[in-house]
Amino acid sequence: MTSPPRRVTGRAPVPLVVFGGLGALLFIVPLVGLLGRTPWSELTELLSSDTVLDALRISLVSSVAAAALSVVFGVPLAWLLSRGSFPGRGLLRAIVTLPMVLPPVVGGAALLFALGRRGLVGEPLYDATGLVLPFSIWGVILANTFVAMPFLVISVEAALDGIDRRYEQAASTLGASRSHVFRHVTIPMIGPALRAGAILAWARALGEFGATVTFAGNLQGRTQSLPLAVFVTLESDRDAAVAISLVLVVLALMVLLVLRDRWWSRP
Amino acid sequence: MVAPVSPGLDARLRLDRAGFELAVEVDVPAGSTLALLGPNGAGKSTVVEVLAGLVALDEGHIRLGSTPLDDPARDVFVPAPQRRMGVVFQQYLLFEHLDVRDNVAFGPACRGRSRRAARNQVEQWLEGFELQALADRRPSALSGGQAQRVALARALAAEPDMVLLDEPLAAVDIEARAGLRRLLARHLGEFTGPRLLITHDPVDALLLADQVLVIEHGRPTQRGSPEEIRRHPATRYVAALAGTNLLTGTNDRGHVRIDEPAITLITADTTISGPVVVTIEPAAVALHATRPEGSPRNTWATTVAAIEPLGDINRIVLDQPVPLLADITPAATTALELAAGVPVWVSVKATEVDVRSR
Repeated sequence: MTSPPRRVTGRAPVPLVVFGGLGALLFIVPLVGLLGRTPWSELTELLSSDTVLDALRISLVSSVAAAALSVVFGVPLAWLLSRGSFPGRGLLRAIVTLPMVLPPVVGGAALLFALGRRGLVGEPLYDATGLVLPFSIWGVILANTFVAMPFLVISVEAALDGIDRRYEQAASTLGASRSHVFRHVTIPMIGPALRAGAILAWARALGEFGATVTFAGNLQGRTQSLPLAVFVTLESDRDAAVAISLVLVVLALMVLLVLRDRWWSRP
Repeated sequence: MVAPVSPGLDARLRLDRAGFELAVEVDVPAGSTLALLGPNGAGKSTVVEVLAGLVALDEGHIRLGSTPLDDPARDVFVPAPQRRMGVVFQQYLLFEHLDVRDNVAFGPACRGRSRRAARNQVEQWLEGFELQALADRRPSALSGGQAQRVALARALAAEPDMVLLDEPLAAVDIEARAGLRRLLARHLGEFTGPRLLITHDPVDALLLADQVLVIEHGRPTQRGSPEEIRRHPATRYVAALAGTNLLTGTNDRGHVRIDEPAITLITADTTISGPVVVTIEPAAVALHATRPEGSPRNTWATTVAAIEPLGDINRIVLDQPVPLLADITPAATTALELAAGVPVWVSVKATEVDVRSR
């Protein structure tokens, strides 16, 4: 029979408890405020309005598409940043991670100047194909990818930097070509970081507001995602705004639960 | 069935890295095992890297039969995937995301085998290495000895033209080592190409290699059969490393019947029975002018075959009935009036007769 281990850590220092507790309140109080303000009896009705259902559809489609695009383009980009040797690699890394620091509105404006109908790339694109990115779902997806992909890139690049490259060498001595090594050894080895990066990118895309509203506008049924719907209804229909906010809180909590084992719990 | 004639390795390796220079010739005939012996930092792992195609030579050449693999002067470099070098790494480097079966199947899958042919072949390798029971396990669930068996099976299943073994027994615990060494000897014996074994253990060299090449500081210091290396060490390092007296025999409650010559030695170790490797440090072999009195259990008369001066000690080579090396001081050599052909008494304490399972 074993007795439970005796506590040897002692009491936490008082200043840490005070400041840490105040820090925690910053996150707890708004959540309680939101839940306290929620019109529970009318919730079903509020959430089944066209505005909410359209916004939910646009948010899910654009955030999942942005996460997928982030994986498709972000993994090779992370590989180039980690393994490539070319001039300006450090500068490229800075530019790629810029959207994490930049106010999203500025990012949206930059996208507009470049890809808007009169933009640097947007005008020839429109002349050649008739495709207009702003004020369409494609614009929402592009804006979301712009803000979300850096999260995937830094997660995957750090994992690529951290893996033991001798495993890749072992694979090459067994006859594996470089692309075979990448697909069958490198990708599985960075699997956890890739999954975490993809979910983080998805979460960032789901919450995206500034770049979307600047580049794609706020058209209900076309470009109005959940965060935009919250902002609009806050003026006109406060109950609806609270209900939509609750949807976002639930979605965010689901992500945290999925990531729980990989990220938030300690070994 | 006649096995196809496998080509031998002909390599002249020159490599200059910050603060380290490798300059060594490595020739291994097909069907032969060369042990590369050397201290840490001697450049042993670098030899593996250049032969496997993970690092390019600065100068020299690597040829397997008539196929050039690396030749900077002629601008030839065959990359690792096309070299067909079966490398067994010291730390195994098994793929953690694959089970044992898929690790062994990795090479055949890369070589573009049909799925069915590859699967049959993989099952044969699993059987040959007694791995069927472990086939569904992940590498992290294996012991060191098991993991090294998987690494060996994985390397051989890729059908290499040559095998490179980097300290294959160093990371394996002592208990599993003897069994793994037997398995290694069997599979190396069946492999028709050249074999290069990197080791720091003279026991491995004696039991597994046909030839031994000693390198120190990136340069060769001696080459010869394991027996030659032990009897005539060229440097102090070789003497210390490979100079141990090694005999094989069978232990029966402290009485070790030596295979060749047919004599019996007494050992203090009665816990190990069956086939053993006997090691006696040269410094533990005592020499006397007359028959020694007292406790030594192993005593016999012999004559001095040769004296090898090794700086502050002399290595005395003794012949009949037991080939032994004894390290004594020059002062003792003078006192005993030792020279080739001089009769002398040998004694070894039972506690100095070290036995290990083989």
